[in-house]
Parts: sequence; structure tokens; C-alpha cells
Amino acid sequence: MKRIVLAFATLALAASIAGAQAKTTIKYAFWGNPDAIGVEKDIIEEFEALNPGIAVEPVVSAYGDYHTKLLTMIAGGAAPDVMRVDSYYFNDFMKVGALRGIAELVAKDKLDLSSYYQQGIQECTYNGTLYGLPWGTAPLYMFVNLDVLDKAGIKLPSNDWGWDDFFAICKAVSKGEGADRTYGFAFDPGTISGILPWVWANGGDLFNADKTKFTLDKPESVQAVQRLADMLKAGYMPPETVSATADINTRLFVNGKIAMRMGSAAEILSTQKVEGVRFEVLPMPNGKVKSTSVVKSNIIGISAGSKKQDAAWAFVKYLRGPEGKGETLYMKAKRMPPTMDSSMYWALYADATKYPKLVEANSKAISKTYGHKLPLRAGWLEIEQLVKPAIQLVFIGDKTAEAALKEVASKAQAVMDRTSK
Amino acid sequence: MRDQYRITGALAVGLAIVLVSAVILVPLAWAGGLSLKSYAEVIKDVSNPFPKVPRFQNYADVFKAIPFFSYFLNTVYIAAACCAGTLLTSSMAAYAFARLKFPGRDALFLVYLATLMVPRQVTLIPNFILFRMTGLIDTRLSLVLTGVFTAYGTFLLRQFFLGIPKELEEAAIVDGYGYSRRFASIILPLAKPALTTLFIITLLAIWNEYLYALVFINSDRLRTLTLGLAIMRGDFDVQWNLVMAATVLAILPLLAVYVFLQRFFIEGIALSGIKG
Amino acid sequence: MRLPPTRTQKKERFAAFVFLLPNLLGFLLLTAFPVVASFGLSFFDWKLLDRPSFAGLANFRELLSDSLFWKSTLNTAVFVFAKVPLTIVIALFLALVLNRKLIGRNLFRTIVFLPVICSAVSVALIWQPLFDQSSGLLNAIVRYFGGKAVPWLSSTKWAMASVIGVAVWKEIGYAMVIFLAGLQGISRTYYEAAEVDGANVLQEFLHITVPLISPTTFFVLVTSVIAAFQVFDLTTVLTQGGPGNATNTLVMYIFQSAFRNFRMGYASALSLALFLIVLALTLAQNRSSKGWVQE
Repeated sequence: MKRIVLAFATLALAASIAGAQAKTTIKYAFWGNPDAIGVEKDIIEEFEALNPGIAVEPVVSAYGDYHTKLLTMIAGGAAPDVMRVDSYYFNDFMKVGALRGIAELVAKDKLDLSSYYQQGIQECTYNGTLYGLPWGTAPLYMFVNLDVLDKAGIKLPSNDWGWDDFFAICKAVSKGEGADRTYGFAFDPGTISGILPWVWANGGDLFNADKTKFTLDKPESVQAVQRLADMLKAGYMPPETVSATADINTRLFVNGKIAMRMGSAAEILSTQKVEGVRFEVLPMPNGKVKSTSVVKSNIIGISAGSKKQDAAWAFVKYLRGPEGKGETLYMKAKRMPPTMDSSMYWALYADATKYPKLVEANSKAISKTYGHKLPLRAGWLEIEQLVKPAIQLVFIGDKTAEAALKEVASKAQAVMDRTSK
Repeated sequence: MRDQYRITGALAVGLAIVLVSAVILVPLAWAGGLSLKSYAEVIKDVSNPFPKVPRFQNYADVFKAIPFFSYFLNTVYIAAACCAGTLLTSSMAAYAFARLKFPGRDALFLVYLATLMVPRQVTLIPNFILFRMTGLIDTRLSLVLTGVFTAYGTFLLRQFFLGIPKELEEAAIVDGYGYSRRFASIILPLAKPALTTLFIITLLAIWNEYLYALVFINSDRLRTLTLGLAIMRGDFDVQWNLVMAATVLAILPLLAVYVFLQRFFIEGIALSGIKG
Repeated sequence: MRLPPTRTQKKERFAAFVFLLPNLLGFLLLTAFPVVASFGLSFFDWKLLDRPSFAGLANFRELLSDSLFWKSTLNTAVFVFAKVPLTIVIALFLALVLNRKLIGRNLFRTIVFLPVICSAVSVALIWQPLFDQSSGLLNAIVRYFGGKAVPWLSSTKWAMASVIGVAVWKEIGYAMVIFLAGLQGISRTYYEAAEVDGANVLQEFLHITVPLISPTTFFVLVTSVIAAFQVFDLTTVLTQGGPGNATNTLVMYIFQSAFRNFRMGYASALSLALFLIVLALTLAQNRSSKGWVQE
């Protein structure tokens, strides 16, 4: 009899504990293609195994439409608990307080922020407060096709190369007619990140230091844009680079039709998918300053209105915290270089037998010496929507850089003034 | 002389048809060719549709990359419910607009038409809020409901109903038919081509609907084919071969439906005699 | 003086109400209400993530002096006025031919309809590589005939023409199917009588087909104009509105304003402007239809 009572009591106790530990479900929003989604799935599974009290419900879409979905969810009062935000959107999100500050959580758990590449931490900071952990901090590299260089008898330039070296390569490799022509260089003139390295190298910038004035119409900037656009007219750049078709530059690059292109970590991956492409990644050509390579991060943060902040924080820490397993899993998938300066993660990410063999050395060099953060601020995407067509017109040759940028300056300034409020 | 003209005319028309077909088919055949190449092969030469060795593995890979079958079933479910709902409710409403007199009819019809002129991108957020309040976010029902009550179907059927001679109904009135019997036994049978057309157009619209599915659906098990295709497309590295294979897989069922239904709305539905 | 409704009229009204009800309920709640709500938002300033604040007519005032609004309106108008007539003429021709007894008729009808089945995004992806300036199929053909490579998508002169071409390619099947359904409504006896009178093909077309198919033409015209004014997917994937805004359309600008610029109120004002333009055009078509559409 006693035994039975005891058994019942144990059962009741077990039941009540299980009841108290009813699962907390958090919604986690991110973007990705099928490969990237596979990685996230593995991470979520491991996290749930380690944290039986928390269930993670993925909310995922392709990058192109991700923020549309996210914005509608938040505007409609159904924000996910944990969300990845592209740094382009971060300042606009923070202006209306979409994310929760995490400084006290970091302090409480004694997270070592110094282990991160600092550009990433800075891009997660708004008005001096940390609002998330960096989700992937990576440079925009210059990809160099070694076969094209070899054929022209040119050596790979050093990290301290400049406009003259760049121009010499373009001139040396640009040969042939029509479909058989080889060009020096291609990039996407539609993005500010594509243009700024050249502007920085020439001593210009998009905005003034406190990001209140638009300065892309200043002589240094105009000159840099015009000089680059003239390369297209001179036949050193393929004309279709202007149309910004999704992967046109990758296609030209793997076929040896261009010697150089600007590209991201994701594009290293797609280039590697074609076997036998020998290529390297370099920092962008230097000039008046050495720091001419864009380093960009994204943010993983907790929705300000989330009622499940403990579970959300546990998950964020797991994803991108210094002690979390997420970083290891991301690195194994090799989709992007480490967010943290750690040889363990680099060992997982970089493969010395594969091109680009310099990826580790040069990513580190960029982070230390050649890196430059974008002057991100509220209204960034709107400003880009103005700048992009203006620059395209310059490259097509419909307008001079001076005229196009002068025309856009007042409009961009108006957007800056409005979004500063 | 006249016969000669006829023969030349027929030849010219035949040639035009063959030419149009070629212009339509070549890009599609191109896409079909890409769907049988390897990724490296595509990237190396995207403008050559001929694979060295056809790689049917791409089609199997689509099923590995996304749960194609589950997405397919969701799309079928939503499309079927939408088509049924649209055909039923629009044909009734169209009958009222085309045949019955009631105050404010033309004004109300104009309101119907007017809603077609507002882009879906703008009504997305009000719709989202509406569905969140009813707790229907992340359900297939939400996509069914947003698909059924567009004004398009009512407009299309009204135009066709207007073309059906009134005399036919008048004869039925003499026979003592009420409204619902006239609707069901005279109008609907005569409108079969229009109903089939509406069915196909609704099916296509729902099959390819993306924006609302993107925003309303969170759960993987509820995703539709268009969401799967968008994820496969990626952003920086278009997996042309897989995307094209998935596209082919997604349109084959529609093609089958179209071929099957063709005879219903095109083949000899004898409306002759109605107008004459 | 208005007469009170008779019993038959009352009965008819009640029947109309019953027939309308299922559709009307859903329509009012799910279609009309969001439209009204978005019109209301055009008087507000709403950054999407905060609370909307009343802005009066500010959005409309800004719109009038917004050069991008005018530019995208003009682009959209060019697109509509080139694409719709082209599509209708080709589709009507195909429908007439494919309505006759013809070897392989069903095959041709299926072929023409194929692009309609594909989503606009797929169509854009299919065409993109064909437009490649140095290695695309189109320029290979141009070069074969001794021409110079055309910058299909990377010049302000060609981009819109390329977009229109793809749109026509995609949509002729849609218009053709509706024309085919409409042609079924024309009795053969008309043509038989005309042939007895010795009319030729052109006369038959002008005096029988055109007038009798006019309600269908009206429908195709109105829906095509409305749909063409809302072009979005095709241009978004094919050209992203470029180069230099050459193919930026009104709905693209509306989308950018709402989801990239965080300005839902302004986006709503833009869509109200779009609405008024399309409404005016539709009313004009409706009015002119009294002259050419046979009831």
C-alpha cells in the first residue's frame, strides 16, 4: 500500500514538474537558400536537444523578400522573438525601437565581446547601446582570376596595391572582340557598397563625418566615380555589368572573361562550385587611405515586444555567442568567415587546399588594416534607391558623374534631413 | 484566282502561326535544356541549352532541396478551394449584376471594378492585420479567403452573362421557372466556356501567388510551391539548373489541367443558334 | 415622382440580394475594406513600426513635386500603351486562326498558352540569360545577321522595349484564351449568310467578328490595362527598375516606398494616384464602349 502511494506521489511530482516545464516556443526569423536553411535546421535541432524547455519555430524566406515579410509581421503586431536584421535596415528598425537592448544581458552572462571582430559589434550598436550580436561580419573582397593574370604574365598584386596597379591589370588583360573579349573588371554599380571603395580611395565619402550631409557630389567622389565609369567606355569593363543580372559577374568570372570582380563570401562559395577556377581574394586597391574594403555585418537580436526574452536570449547566445555552438556549426558549413577572431573557427572555415588560399590571411588583414565600415544610418535604402540610378546613368554614359551626382545630391539630402528627425 | 489568294493566305497564316510558336517555344526549350545541365555547366555557359549528358538528377535534387510534394499539396489544396469558391460565389454575383435589377447596381459594380485597380502590395498590411485579429495567420484558409473574393471573376462572368440572349430566360419565365432554376439550368450550362476560362485563370493566379503566401505563412508544413521556388532561387548564386527543373515540375500539372480542359471551353461548345 | 416598387420588383430585389450575398460579404470584408484602409492611410505618416500620425494632405503635396513619381508614371504608361494593344492584336489574330479547323490546332493553342502558366518571376529568369549582351542568344542572332550587339537590358533606350517584349510574349496566351471563349458565342449562321452574299475574309472579320466579339474585347482591354498598370514582378526580377530608373514602374515605386523607405502613408498616396489614373482610363473605356461594344 505504501509503495503504491509513493509511486503515485512520484508520478504526481513528475507530472507537476513536467507541467511547470511546459515548452516555451520562440519564433526565429532568418533568410536563406536551401543550403543555408539546412544549416539553421541543424543548429535549431542541437539547441532544442540541449534546451528541452525551448522549442524554436523557424520563420524563413529568401533574402530578397525577407524584410518585407519581417516588416509586415512587426507592423501587424506579430513580431518574431528572435530575428536577423540586415545592417542596411538596422538603423531604421532601431529608430522605432524594434529590438531590445542586450547590454545588461551581456554583462550578466559576462560575454566576452572583445573576441568579436569589432566592426561587427559596432554595427549592432545604436546610440551607444548594443542591440544584438553580429551575425556574420565579412568583407567585400576583390576576386582575382589567377589564370587570366597568368595568361597576361602579371603577378598577383600585394595588399597595398593602388589605382595604378589596378588600371595596369585592366589594360593588360582587356583583349578580343564581341563574345570573345576579356575584360579587366566587373562589379555592380547599382550598390553603394560597390562604389564607396573607389570613392574612399580617392579621399571622398558618401556622407560627412557625422552623417548629416551628403558628400557624394564633392569633387573627390565625383572624380572617383567618373574615373571608374570611363573604364567601361574604354572597354575595360563588360557592358552588361550595368544590368546587374543576378549572377552575371560570377558567370563572367568563372569563364575567365574578367580578371577581377568585387564579391562577397557567399560568392566565394558559388565560384568554388565550378571546379578548376584558380582565384584569390584581395583587399580593394588603396589610395589616399588604406581602409578601402567594405566590412559589413548583420544583426541577430531580440524583438522589443517579445514576452519570451529569456528563451530568446538563450537562443541568441547559442547562435552567435562566444561560447555558443552555433558559430561552430556555421563554420562547418563554410557559408561565411568567422565573426570572431579565433583560430579554431578559422580552421573550420578556411581550407588551405582550395582557392582562394589567401582567404584567412586577407580577411584578417582587411579586418585589421584595410577594412572600412559603411556609413550606415536611417534612410539608407531610400538613399541607395536614389544613388543607384544616378550611378547607372554615369556608367551607361548618359550623364557625367558631376551632373548625375549633383542632381541626386539635393534629393538625397532631403531624405537625410527627413529621416534624421 | 480567288482560290490562289486563299492558298497564299492560308500559307501566310500557317507560317505566322509556326513563327509565333517558335518564338514562344525557344526560350522555354532553353529553360528545359538548362534544367538538365550541371551547375558548373550552366555557369560556364548559360547561353548553351544543350547538356553534354542530360542530368536528370536535377529533378531528384529538387525534391531534396525542398519538400516539394508537401508544398505541392498545399498549393493544390488552396487552389482547389479558391477555384470552387470563386466559381460559385462569382457566378451568383455575376448573375445578379447581369440579369437582375436592383437599386445601386451599377454603382456597386463600379466599386467591384475599382478594387481591381489597387495594387495588392498596398492592401497587404491591412489584410495582414485583419487576418491576425481573426487568428488565421499561418493557415491555408487565410490564403483561400484572400483568393476567393476578388472582383475579377464577377467581372468576367458578368460580361459573358450579358452576351446570353434574354429570350432564353423569358421562355423559362413563361414555364414558371424561378430565379435559381433559371440560373442553374439555363445560364450556367450556357456559360460553360466562361466558367472554364475563369477556372483556369483563377487556378493560374493562385498557383503563382507569392506575396500573400510569403507574408501569411510561417510554418514549413504549410508552405506553397511559389515560396519553395523563391527559396531555391537564392540571391547571389542562382542555381539555374535546379530552379529551371523546379519550374518545370511546378508547371507540368497546370499544363495537364489546361490540355484536359481545352475541349470544354474551346472545342465545339455549341452556342450556335443562340444569337442567330 | 418615383413609384414604389411593385411586388415583382421587390421579389427581384430580394433575389438579387440573395445571389449577391455570399460574394458581397467576402468582398466587402476582404477586398473592399483593405482598399479603404489603405486609402485612409494616405493621409497619415506611418513608418510601419511606429504608430501612424495624421499628416493631412502632406503626402499628396509631396507627390506632385516628386520627379520619381512622374517618371515611374510615365514609364508605366509607356509600358501599358505599348503592351496592351500589341498583345490584343496578336492574340485576336491567333484566336481567329486557331478557332478554325487546322492541323495541330490544339498543339498550337497549348504552345501559345505555355508562358501564361509560368509565373512572371520564372519568365524573367528564363529571359535574363537570353538578353546577355556578349553571350546571349538574342545577340548571337543579331550578330549572325551582321548586326552589332544590342544592350537589351543595360541601356536606357532598350530596357523598356525588352521588358515590353517579354510581357507581350507572356500574355498573348491569356488574351487568346478569352477571345477563343468569346468566339464560341458567335453563331456560324452569320458567316454562312455572309458567304452566300460573297463577302471575303476581311469583310467577314470587320462586319461580323469585330462587332460580335466586342464585349469580350472590352473585357480583355479593361483587365489588361488594369493588370499592366500594376506590372511589378517582371520588372523587379528582369531589370530591378534600371538602368537609371528606365523601367521603374509605379507599383515598384509604391513597394519601395512602403517596404524599403518605411513610408506606408506615402505609398498609400501613390497607390491612390495610381487608382485614380486607372479609374479615369476605365471610365473612359466604358464611356467609349457605348460606341463600339454591342450589347
